[in-house]
Amino acid sequence: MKRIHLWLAFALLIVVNTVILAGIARNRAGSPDAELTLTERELVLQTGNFREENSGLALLLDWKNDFVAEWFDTDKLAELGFDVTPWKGDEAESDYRGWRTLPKKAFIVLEYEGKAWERFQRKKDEELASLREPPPRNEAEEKHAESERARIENELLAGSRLFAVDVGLDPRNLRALYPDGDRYIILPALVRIYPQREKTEWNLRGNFETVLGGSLHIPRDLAAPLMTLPNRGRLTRGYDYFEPGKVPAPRYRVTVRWGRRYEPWVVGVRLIGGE
Amino acid sequence: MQKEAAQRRADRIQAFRTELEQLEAEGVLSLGAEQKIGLDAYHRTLLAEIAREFDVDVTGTEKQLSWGMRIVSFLGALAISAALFFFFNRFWGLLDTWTQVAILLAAPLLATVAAEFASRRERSLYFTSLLSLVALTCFVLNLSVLGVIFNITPSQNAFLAWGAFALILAYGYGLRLLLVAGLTCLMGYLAATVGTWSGCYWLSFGERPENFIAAGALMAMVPLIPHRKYPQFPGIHRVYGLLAIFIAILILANWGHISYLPWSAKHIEYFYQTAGFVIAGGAIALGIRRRWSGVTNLGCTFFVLYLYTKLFDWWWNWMPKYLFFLLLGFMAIGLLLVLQRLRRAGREVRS
Repeated sequence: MKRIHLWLAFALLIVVNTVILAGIARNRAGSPDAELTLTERELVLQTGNFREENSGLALLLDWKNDFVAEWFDTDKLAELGFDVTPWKGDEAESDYRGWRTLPKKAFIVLEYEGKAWERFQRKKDEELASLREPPPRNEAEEKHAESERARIENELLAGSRLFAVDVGLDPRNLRALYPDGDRYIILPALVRIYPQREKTEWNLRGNFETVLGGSLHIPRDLAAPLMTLPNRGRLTRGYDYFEPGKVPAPRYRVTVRWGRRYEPWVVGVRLIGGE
Repeated sequence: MQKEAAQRRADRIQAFRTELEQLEAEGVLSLGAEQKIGLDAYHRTLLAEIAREFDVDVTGTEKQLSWGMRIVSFLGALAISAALFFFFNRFWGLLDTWTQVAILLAAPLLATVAAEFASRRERSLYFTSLLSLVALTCFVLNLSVLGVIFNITPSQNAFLAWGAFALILAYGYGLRLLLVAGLTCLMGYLAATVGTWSGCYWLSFGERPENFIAAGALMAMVPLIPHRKYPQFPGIHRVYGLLAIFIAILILANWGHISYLPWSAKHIEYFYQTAGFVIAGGAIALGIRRRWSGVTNLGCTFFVLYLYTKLFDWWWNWMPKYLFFLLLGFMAIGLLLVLQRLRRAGREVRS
């Protein structure tokens, strides 16, 4: 009886760990909510300044929000519980609503190699064409066009093909709308409201602050192929390619499953020659 | 008798001995040789007894060394915790998942057993404090790394688990350091939970200092529950809770736009500036009345801080810097004169 604190401490440690492990088991039980094989374009190797101090390996989910402004409008914001009364844009309102509306948790739908990706490709092709017409008039314009062309080509060859296409509060409703678990991932995310000035009016738009669970740990038995990869030639977020002059190409494929709690786990890693 | 009571008795004996020597030197009082020997023997036996039973400091030198040992024990705990963190980070990638999980679960259990073992071997609890803090670090590592390994969505409940664990050890062994650690974790949990009531995601809890006012008020009220076993704990609860409230008010008095209140930033700042002075003044009065020195000192510190930040707002930009600091100096002298008067008035009332 005298050492009751000791037993309480043990009980707490065991109960908390049991609850966590049960949650993990529940997430992975049954058929997964989604299963996709992505490449280095969508899952970039996480690196830091203290690599030698950390032997663990993780991948970061990279996705695009290029067309979000078109569909993440006032109706969607209202659906998520944001105050969407018209924005006048005066100082007091900006002071109150601009600063003070905090992000909310919602669920994002990410589409892989779907219509949004096709639209993105068409848009970038048009941008490439506009760089050729009219032809650059001087050396400075030529240089600018060249760097723009390289940036767009790198995005098309090495950029992520995952696009945010919808958002909602109930992941089950979203799955009913996007039933294809081989193409659509549903993940918890933080969303914010942004006032946007369009001509003379202020419009409220939503955007994603971050995706929760966007960092994927690689277990030791799957990490071996990734450990052999050199740092050079690595694709990074923003597509700044490490080896200028070389065509960027993804170096691995990773199969990921998302479970009942929309938490991911890696089930396979394979090296590839290029895409 | 508790350890704190034993320490107070030892301190009183030391003070009595010094005063007696002084009185004898000034010829005010002189004990007979027999009385002196009897008194000395009684005190020596008593001090030896309480030193043996409670491991308290019976001389000034011992007291200084105790402080040194407390600091060393704290720094040692920090260093060992950092070593554990970096050691695990360095090698965990070489282990398979279930070995990682087993190590993460075993580490806090083993550290808790080690703390218990140390507590049975010592009465001063320096090693127990060190090992308990290491056990807490292992538990923090346990939950945070499990989250990373299994890509779990973060939750504020981890703070509740860590806080509960730290408080169990703090109340089990009477460790102030663990109490502060536990309160810090609980503060995080409470502030995040209060934040979620307004509909925001828990990780945004730091963006609304009012969350900490609510959490701090709850903590400052814990001493309403009697603490007979550890009479020094209520003071820590009060000071910690009030510190959270004062810091939150200091932030809101300068950045009104991060408040929940639906007013303009300027009005919110005026409100919290006024509230700051009122609450700091109230804390000083309450501290004096109840003889809570920690609360009085904290109230004084924040009263001056609020005053200086206000003066900075008003005068820094348009006044020459030498004049600004000169005025601050004069204000300090004015405050000293007021406090001196209060002190003298109190003495007159007592006499």
